[in-house]
Amino acid sequence: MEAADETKFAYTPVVGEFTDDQNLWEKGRDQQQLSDRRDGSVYRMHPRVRLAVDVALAAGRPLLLRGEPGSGKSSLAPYLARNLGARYFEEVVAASTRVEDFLWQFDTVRKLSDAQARQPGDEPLDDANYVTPGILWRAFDPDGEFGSKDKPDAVVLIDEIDKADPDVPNGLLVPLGAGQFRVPARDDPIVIPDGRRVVVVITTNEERQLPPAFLRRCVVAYMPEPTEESLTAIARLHVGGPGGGDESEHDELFGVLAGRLLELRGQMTKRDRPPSVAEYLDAVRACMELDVDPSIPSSAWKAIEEFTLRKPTDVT
Amino acid sequence: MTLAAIWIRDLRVAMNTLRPADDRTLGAIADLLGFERAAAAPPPPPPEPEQLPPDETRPGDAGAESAPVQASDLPVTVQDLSAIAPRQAAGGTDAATKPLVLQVATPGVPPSPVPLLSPLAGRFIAQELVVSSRFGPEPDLIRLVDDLARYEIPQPLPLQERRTLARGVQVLVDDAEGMEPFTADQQRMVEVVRRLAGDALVEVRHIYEVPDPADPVQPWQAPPLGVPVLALTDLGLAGRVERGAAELVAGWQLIADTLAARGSSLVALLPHPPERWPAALVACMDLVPWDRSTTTVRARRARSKGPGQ
Repeated sequence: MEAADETKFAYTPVVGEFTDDQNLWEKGRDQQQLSDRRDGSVYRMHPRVRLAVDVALAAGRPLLLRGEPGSGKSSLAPYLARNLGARYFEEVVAASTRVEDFLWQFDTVRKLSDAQARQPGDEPLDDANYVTPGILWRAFDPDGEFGSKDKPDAVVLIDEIDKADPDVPNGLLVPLGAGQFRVPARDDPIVIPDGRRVVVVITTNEERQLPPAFLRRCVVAYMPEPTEESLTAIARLHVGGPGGGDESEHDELFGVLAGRLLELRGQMTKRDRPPSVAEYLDAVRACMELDVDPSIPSSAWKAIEEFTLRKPTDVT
Repeated sequence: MTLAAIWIRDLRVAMNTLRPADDRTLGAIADLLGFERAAAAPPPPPPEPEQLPPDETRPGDAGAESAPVQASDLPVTVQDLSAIAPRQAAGGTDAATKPLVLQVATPGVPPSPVPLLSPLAGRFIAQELVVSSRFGPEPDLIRLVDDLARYEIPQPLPLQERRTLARGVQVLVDDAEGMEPFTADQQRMVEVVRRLAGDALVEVRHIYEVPDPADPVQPWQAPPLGVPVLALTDLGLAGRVERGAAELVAGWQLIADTLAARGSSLVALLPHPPERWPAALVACMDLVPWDRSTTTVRARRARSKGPGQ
């Protein structure tokens, strides 16, 4: 993890200014979409992560975000998509995920259904009719079928790639590196049309090492460690929205919880999963909703701390 | 395009687009692209002359499939970045005047002594050794439906094949005297396998000459059904063994049979040439030479042929 040096870097950014969206934030709040929201309304971007975004955009490489669970890796992608005015696609990787899942799927059930309706002597079924696009196909959208006429650019989130077998990142090298891939029963490859920007954000919790060839083709950024200042600023943004300003009536609560989280992180052994930003926001919301003051010892605070910040790692 | 050329191209494009105005920003951009600062002076010596065999390209290495990786490609030292750094630096920093000496970071390269496997290839070889094929339980629907669409009854039912590490792996580390010179290689291989499959899915068991369920110190237990087993052993070929050769062979045969009955593959990495391998064991387990001549292709062939081939 990076030291949390928040000094800005000096360069010409590819994206001029990232902004938060008050209306979208309020809409999410009204719909109770407070935790793990993926609407991209607000995000506090560390200068180094901001630089990584610009480097990825400049080099045309996927952005690989490494860091602890809950440190804000996945939520960067929708924020990026909204700020770029781009379409947004995401796929959460599991152990059973195959490379093809990102590219295309074959609808065997429909083909079987059609086959049963056929009579001997009918024209053979065309496999091209049974191929359905995966997220990279939709993002590349060479035929303009998936919204690229209105929004040409796209942001793709490939979440937790370390859960997949090593063949998956290796199999993504060409689609991500060359911006094209082939599909069965289709003559033309799926290619990113000229002038279209497809930004791929990949996250890893580093349960498995990624292939070196894959790492080489990514812009790799570590999510910075939280500080009391960064946690408080994040809480202000998430609780008060973009219009909440630089101060909040809850600053004392935010500060106490941030201090407690950092204290707990310092006590963790290597095998423990340290609480991060997501756990911090859970604790903030719980304390606010239940009107619990963490600076006063109480059974309620003890329970909230247990449920949000001190999650055991050996749960089976 | 070689990997090194890809990195340099990315760095050049990023520098030209972002035009870093100070040394800190320039260094951070290079770092994000996989470069790291080299020692200031003298420049790092060139890596040992080494060229991977022609079949040793990285899987899916677009644009470099047919080009062997040259030692001159890795690590790459970039000393001419002053040419692409902005000449007019804001804030009076020295980014414009001093060349920033960078080199490509080479993650996961173990320290000397010289390992049995090339550090670059070791990961891919390990993957070939511990990956297992899984057929089904899902049917291969594409093939199945294709047969049905042609009014043909598939016989037998085609099942989907997947190469996976999801089953995990049991690694047998032979602590016998004959393996003492290779202890560091055993540790490296265990580490590589852990990184590949994930800590939670790797079981390391220490054995002495042969896995022995009745061993009072290190009793061997078969892994769960279907979990592949990788043995880092010399099968007693070094000669300094307590058991007789026949007993060792019989012991390994028993283990191979036990594992085969449980649907687990058994592959052994041997630091001795094939001419010395016991024929009886060649017939019942996958054996792969553990030296610099080993390639991913050779490891894959040994696995795909199966025992006795």
